[in-house]
Amino acid sequence: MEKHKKRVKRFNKIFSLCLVIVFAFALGGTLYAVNYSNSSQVATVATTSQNKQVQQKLKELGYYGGAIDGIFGSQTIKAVKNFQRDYGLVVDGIVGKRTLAKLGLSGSGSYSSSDIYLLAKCIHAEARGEPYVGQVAVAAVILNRVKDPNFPNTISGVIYQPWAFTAVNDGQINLEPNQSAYNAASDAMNGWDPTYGCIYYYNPQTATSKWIFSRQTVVTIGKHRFAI
Amino acid sequence: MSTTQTNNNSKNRVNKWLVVALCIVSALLLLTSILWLTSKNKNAQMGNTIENVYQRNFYDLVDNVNNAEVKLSKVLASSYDSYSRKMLDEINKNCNMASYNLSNLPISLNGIDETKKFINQVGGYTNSLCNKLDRGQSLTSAEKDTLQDIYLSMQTLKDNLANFNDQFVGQGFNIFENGNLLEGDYNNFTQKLQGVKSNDVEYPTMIYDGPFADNLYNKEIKGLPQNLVAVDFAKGEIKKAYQSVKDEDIKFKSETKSRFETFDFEVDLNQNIKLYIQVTKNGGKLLTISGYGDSSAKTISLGDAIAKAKNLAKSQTGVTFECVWSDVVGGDAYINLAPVQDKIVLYPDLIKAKVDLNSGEIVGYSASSFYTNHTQRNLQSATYDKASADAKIPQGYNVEMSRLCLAPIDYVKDTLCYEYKCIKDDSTYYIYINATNGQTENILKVIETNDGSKLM
Repeated sequence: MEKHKKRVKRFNKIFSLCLVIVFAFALGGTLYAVNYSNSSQVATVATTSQNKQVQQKLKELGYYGGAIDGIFGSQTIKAVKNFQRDYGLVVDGIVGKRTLAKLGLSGSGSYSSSDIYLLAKCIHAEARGEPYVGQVAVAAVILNRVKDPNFPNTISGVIYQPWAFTAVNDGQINLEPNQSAYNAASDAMNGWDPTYGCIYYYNPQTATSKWIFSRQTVVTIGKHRFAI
Repeated sequence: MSTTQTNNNSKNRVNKWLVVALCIVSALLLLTSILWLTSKNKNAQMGNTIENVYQRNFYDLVDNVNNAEVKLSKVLASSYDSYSRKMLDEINKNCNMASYNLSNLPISLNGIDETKKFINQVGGYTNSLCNKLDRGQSLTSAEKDTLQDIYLSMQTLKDNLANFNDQFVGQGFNIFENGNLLEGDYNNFTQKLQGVKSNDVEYPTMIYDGPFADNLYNKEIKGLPQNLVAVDFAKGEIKKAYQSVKDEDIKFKSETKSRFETFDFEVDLNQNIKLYIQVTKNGGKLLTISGYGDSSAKTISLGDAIAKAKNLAKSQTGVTFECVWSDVVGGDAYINLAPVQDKIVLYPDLIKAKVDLNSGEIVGYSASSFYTNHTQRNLQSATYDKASADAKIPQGYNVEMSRLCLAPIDYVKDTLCYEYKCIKDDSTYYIYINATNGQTENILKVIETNDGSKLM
């Protein structure tokens, strides 16, 4: 009887050990799967900006060389004219319905909504919890980068530039932005820049790069230092 | 039943349970392993997909740099403007694509900055030369010298990329994996890319009218007084602008040290509105106000909001402004104000304001363009007559308004233009005709969006 009890005890031990191993595997597998699903979000490639679609589309087709800034300047007009000439349209530099159709864009699209949405997503991911002006400042940095020769020339290009934003890498960019983020994005698009041209920002409490500390700080807003 | 038999039965029962348990464990282990392997396989597939995108961008970058280098040599050999223009246009396209390729590679944030800048600037520079040739002018010898310098730099860049391909990418170097290996400030891919330099590249300075030009940065501030003020003076300016605000509502937060130096304050305007106000150290002028209203209900009209914005701008600058643009988004009115001198609207001196239509308070204000550009100008009169400019408006475009203005063209050039507001097919356009030579300088289209009207 004593021997039987010992065997049952041994069996229980083995059984428990097996269960622990199975749970460990299952937990590991689940974590791995979750991690994988996050990284697949990270891998999401930037969609073409619907806002300022004409400039973006002309750029893709090799007609336009300037920044995607929403300003329909002489460069854009020239690009439109060249495009119209090549596609047998009336060459007037004006983007009417036919030109839009040839560009593969509908005439009724809301041009700037997607850029504001993308900006708002990045603000929400990077600066939620920061004061409102800190959120405008983050958006201004993104827009300043679009104009800077060292960075991509589109809003989506800047936001999805590999290694540029932590919140893009870890998938927080896909969180739904709140109203404050939308307001901040809208203000920055309308020309507000409380950083006066900064192209970097970082949180000194969490930043790991030594290089970023060497940049000249312009202003500290909330937890972020804004620098050039 | 004997004791031996009882023991045997117990033994069998334990063995049976042991077998069942082992079967369950084995099945679970097998299932977990299959899940893990599937995930691993998918992860590897994803890694390969990303690696392929990186490889494609790297080889496209090499192609675009090679093509730009060859076309630069052709421009230098060309004595025909039309051929030069064609080549310059293609170089511009190659540079834009090369810039796009670079931005899609996993380069650490500050890695190969000079190369990125060089490629973007060559794109901007060649585009400005195309514009010049379009205007019927020829390339100067100084511009040809700059093109020669650009060509030599592009040659070196081409060689460096070829070396990187020979030593790494062409030898099975995995860009994705090395992009994920972080050592210090740079990942391994960036370090290797920076390390491969057969020759040091010296990139030329490019001065031109267009995006990314060296001369765009550090613009001189023309419109601020020289005298420096103290924090208390700056606080006083805030109280003048917001008379309901008391001392305890204004908290000094920090200082901004950019080309503008400011004292920065947090201001509790009321229960719902908190503002961040930056006041210049030079002269104590309100430079930027950031905030937003509660947008619950509108109690003042757009006209009242414009009047309020004009009053603040005048009290701060001593200049009279006209509203040149307004739009209501949510509960806020966005208002652009510009001064008028000799009946000419000065767009470079723009002030932007945002008014909360519920409280009637100014919750946004940006005067950095005004203080950067404002100065007493000796404005030339229009030499291209108005009737000839009117004739340039295409048929079918109904002119609602026309006036003279100074407009910033190509980022840096303030140009005297006739401005026309036209309507066609329910769309609004602003057309700018040069008041000196009659060229069409700019056409803006008003785009209605969920976020208000935008000019494109």
